[in-house]
Amino acid sequence: MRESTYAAFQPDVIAEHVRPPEYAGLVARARRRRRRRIAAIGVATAVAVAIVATVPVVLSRGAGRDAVTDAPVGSGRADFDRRAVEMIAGWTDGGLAYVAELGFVPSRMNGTLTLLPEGWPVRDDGVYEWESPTPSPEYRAYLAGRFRLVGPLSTDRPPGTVSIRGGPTITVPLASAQDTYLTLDRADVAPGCTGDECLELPVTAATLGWVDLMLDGGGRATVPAWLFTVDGLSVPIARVALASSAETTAPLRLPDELFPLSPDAPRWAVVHAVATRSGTNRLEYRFQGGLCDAGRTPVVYETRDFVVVGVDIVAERKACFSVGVDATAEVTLTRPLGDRVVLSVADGFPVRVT
Amino acid sequence: VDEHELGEVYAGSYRRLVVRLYAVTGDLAEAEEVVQEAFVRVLASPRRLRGVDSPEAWLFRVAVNLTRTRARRRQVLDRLLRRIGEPPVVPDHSADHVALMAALRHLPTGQRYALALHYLLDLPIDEVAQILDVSLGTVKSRLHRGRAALADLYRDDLTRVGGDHA
Repeated sequence: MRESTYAAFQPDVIAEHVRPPEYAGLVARARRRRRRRIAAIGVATAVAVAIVATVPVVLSRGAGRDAVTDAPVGSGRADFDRRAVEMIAGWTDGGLAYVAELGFVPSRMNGTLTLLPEGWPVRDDGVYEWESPTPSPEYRAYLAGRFRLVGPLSTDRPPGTVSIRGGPTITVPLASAQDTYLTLDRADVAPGCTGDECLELPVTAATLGWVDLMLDGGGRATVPAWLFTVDGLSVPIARVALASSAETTAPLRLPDELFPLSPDAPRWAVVHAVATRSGTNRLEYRFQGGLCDAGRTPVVYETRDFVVVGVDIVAERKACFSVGVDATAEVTLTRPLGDRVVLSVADGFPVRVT
Repeated sequence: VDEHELGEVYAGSYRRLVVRLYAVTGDLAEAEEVVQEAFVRVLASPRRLRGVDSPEAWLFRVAVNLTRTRARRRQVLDRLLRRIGEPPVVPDHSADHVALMAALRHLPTGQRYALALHYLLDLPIDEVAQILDVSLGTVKSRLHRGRAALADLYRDDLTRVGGDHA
């Protein structure tokens, strides 16, 4: 490759097109930045003093934000902010930013990267397992992530390709069958337990195949998957085989696997889309509310690269039909949204900007 | 190092730095922006250059890191939101050059940087590892995978065959 591509890259030809700007302009930019930094240190000190002297209210939407542009700005709600920080970390470290870079984010409609081929979830009476009021012990074990490894799985990491329909085919690093298996096996069974609730699905082998996934924002992609053979089931259980980045061997996980909501956590409404008005800091949310919401408070957490949004729903304390309604709300950011990525705190998925 | 001395570095190195960054970014406008930003950062805190042997090499490294951060942010966004970005500015309009840069842009960034630094800029592998802050083995595997992927992309262009996952 070296000879042919090198010829296509001629530094001298490119250099002719480079027009250096005035050096004085750069010096002026640097001076402005130095002044801003000094102002920011001043403000940070003032805020620190204020926190020590009074109550942490100053932390919410307070003074001098323009100066401290890169510092995260919280909502003032500890539970929301904690989850927002987790999501951003998951995006940058957990592999989601990586698949987004590849141009491929599985849709929230997939729910999970573990998929069942057609066949197994249909019972003899023609009812799908997920429709049945009495799903089989096997299906319940699958949902709960109760698996048991019988015999070794391969630790090889063969190369794979993702084909985005109507788009590019990308070579991607895969996680090994062994590492991918660990994303299936999410629950343990107490020793000595024998009932249906303790059934574990025995995994005996894995072969490399593929699954067809819906993508966030529309479209589909064919993605490499490990097909796990389960003793006693007629079809394998598939799990997307992508690694979470080019550097690590850890398998990719979806936001709902990375950030499971605890049952006692507040119910954050899923934000479908946000809109900005150019030139303003206003951010309008579109989200699914309920017919009987007594209160809907939009909350936002901002960093340099991300804006995490959510709506805190307070339900009216009375019997109510569970009917969803489209709702909107508005918040003011500390600066224009710009090219920041918007994430929904409810499920960690990206939010469309319209 | 003061503003005046940096001015000399600027006069001597700017053009060369932009060309090298262009190899990495595949976009001339982007290359100019990151090189300027690297200079602004050094001018804003000249102490950073204390004890640095070669300001140009140091600026190059800062600019490559800036590119990575900026690219990560922008790509995440563009692809997530299906925004159509500006087409890259490519100074050399020869068909081979445009095809090479287009193919490079399709690769995962890790592979693209490794290929650009090693093959287009002729940096030895250990220096590439140092600049990208990864191990020698990682650079080698990225070069290997990147070469294979690049070959695939060129082939795909001709035959339009999708992936075979069977």
